[in-house]
Amino acid sequence: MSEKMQTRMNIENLSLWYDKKQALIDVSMPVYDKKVTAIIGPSGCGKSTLLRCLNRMNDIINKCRVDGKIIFDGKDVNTKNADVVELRKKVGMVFQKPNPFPKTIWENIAYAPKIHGIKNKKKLDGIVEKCLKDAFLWEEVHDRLDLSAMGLSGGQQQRLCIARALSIEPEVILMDEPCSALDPIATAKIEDLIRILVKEYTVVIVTHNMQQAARVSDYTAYMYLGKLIEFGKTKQIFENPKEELTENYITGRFG
Amino acid sequence: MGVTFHSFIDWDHLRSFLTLKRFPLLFTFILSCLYAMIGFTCLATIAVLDQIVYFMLFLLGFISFFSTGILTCTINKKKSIRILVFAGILLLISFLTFVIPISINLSDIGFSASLSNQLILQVFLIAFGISGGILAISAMYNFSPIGSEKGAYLLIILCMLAVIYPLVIILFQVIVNGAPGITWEFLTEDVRDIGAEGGIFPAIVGTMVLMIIIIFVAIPLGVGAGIYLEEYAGEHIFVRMIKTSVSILRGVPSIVFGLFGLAFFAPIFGLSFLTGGLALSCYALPMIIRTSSESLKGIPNGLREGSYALGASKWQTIRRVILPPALPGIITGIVLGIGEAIGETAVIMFFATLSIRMPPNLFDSIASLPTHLYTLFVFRSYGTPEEVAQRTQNIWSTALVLLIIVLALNVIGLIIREKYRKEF
Repeated sequence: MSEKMQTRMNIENLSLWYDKKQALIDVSMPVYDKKVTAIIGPSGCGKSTLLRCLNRMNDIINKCRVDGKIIFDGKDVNTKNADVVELRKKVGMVFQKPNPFPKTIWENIAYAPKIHGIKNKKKLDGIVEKCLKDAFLWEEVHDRLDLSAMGLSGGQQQRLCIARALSIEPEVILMDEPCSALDPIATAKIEDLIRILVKEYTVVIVTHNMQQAARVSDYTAYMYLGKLIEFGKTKQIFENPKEELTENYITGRFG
Repeated sequence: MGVTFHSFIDWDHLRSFLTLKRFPLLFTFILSCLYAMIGFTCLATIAVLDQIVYFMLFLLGFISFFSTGILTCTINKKKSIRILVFAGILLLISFLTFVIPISINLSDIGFSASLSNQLILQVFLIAFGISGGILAISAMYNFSPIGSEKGAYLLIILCMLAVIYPLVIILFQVIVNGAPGITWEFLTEDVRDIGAEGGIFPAIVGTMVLMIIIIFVAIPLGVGAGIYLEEYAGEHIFVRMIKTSVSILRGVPSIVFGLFGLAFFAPIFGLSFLTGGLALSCYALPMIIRTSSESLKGIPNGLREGSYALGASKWQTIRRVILPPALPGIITGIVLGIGEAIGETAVIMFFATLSIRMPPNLFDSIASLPTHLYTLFVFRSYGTPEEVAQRTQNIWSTALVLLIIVLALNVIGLIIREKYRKEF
């Protein structure tokens, strides 16, 4: 059986320097449509750096230079002329540490649509409800939407951040170790959420938890010291790694 | 303070000192506190106590510490010897109170002042009160580590009291001396006879005018600069120079700002409210810039990233996500800056008068409460004894009015801050 795979994003020869230090060395890999792609590797290998390139978040870091192409919707978004705002509307991000705004739950979700021009309150209410439902948070907070988001638990805050990322209907969702600050039960809820989200969205997740990658993703990329060592179907990476470095990491010879 | 104080005073432990054998330790501690309080109050109010009083106090201290030392002999020999030595020193000083001359002339070593024995004895009271208190606490806890910790607590609380106490004394004196003079006529009448008669209405109006100028000039410039320095400026060395300059400016003496105003603003606006207001705004700016920067710095970076990731621009992020939680801090800075500025004399005293036209014209000479106070003080001994007395009364009353205005400003700032804090 052959799956007709669409490439949502394509990373071509991406290299990144923090000042003089090279953190990404010639990375090339595809991001397939409506699949979960996991990026794994030991600490400091460049996973988060690579992820942040996909929505140009590294722009805000001082003295950061990025070479190479990131093809999205047929255009290279890693150029000076690219519209970063449009890119970020289509490529959303969820961070390692939940970062809800110090506003009400409603305002957190309505923030992005408001910025991008939606002013109609009824429409905003609808968006808030849909996003909270998609993030499996509606049941828990629907009666206190005007309370501060800072009063939610860690797991709830992270789901709120996911709902917030969904509020502008992106096509790709980037997740930078979304569960590392959460307890196992909250983690399980988010992993379930990811498997449901991937039916509508493309997901790229960075994780240092190998088991999580194996559970949740369709494709896995293994990185080491800034280089992409191996990329392939998750099943193949974990059961039959081609590269020795990959095998060493998977089997826990080092981590 | 509620929690700290509660754990500082261990009521159950204290009850164990109400036995005859242990009572001297508690008494020693209370006596030490008394020493510090009496010494401080006398020092602050320049009170004169009879030599006999000092003698009795120090003698009592000797007896108290001596018995403490004897009682703690069995617990720790070294430490109790320290207490006995302390007691001995107190005995020595009690005799010295009769030996120290009433006034020591310092001209032998080159000063034209003389040192009063009151000053020396009061300083002794404070010093021995504090050190004795720490020793006493240590003894009360059998010289254990808990005792040292309580001793440290005591020191910290003393520092806090040392700051509050003089403030309370000053407030007390201003209120008690100034209140009798606050009449409706005082607040609404014009100045007459260089302040010997009439009221301070021009000064009040003048202070308000200056405050309005500062609000319109210093707040936008200061908060704007703070936002720029924190959010927009990069890591360039030029930026660091600006930040350092702002810090240094905060330490520049206010009279220099006055001269600056004379040199730069006076040629354009004359010796007027505009010049004074602009000079005062410059004085308030470093404080406002600094507190705005610090407030913005305190907002976690995760919020900025979260906003950018949703496609927001820098200004949208600042306006909607960063500024609201930073507002309490920024407002505090503004209130503090304005409060400092309107109490300032040196910046505007070169061109301040007592009386101004009504309604005030921005190009007129300035009247303000602090300069009014200063002028009255300079001229206080002119005229008949009644005029002098009235002027003295007016000096205190002017000070009280100024104090009330600054306090009101701070209270308003507090209310605004709390209102914003509640929303988050």
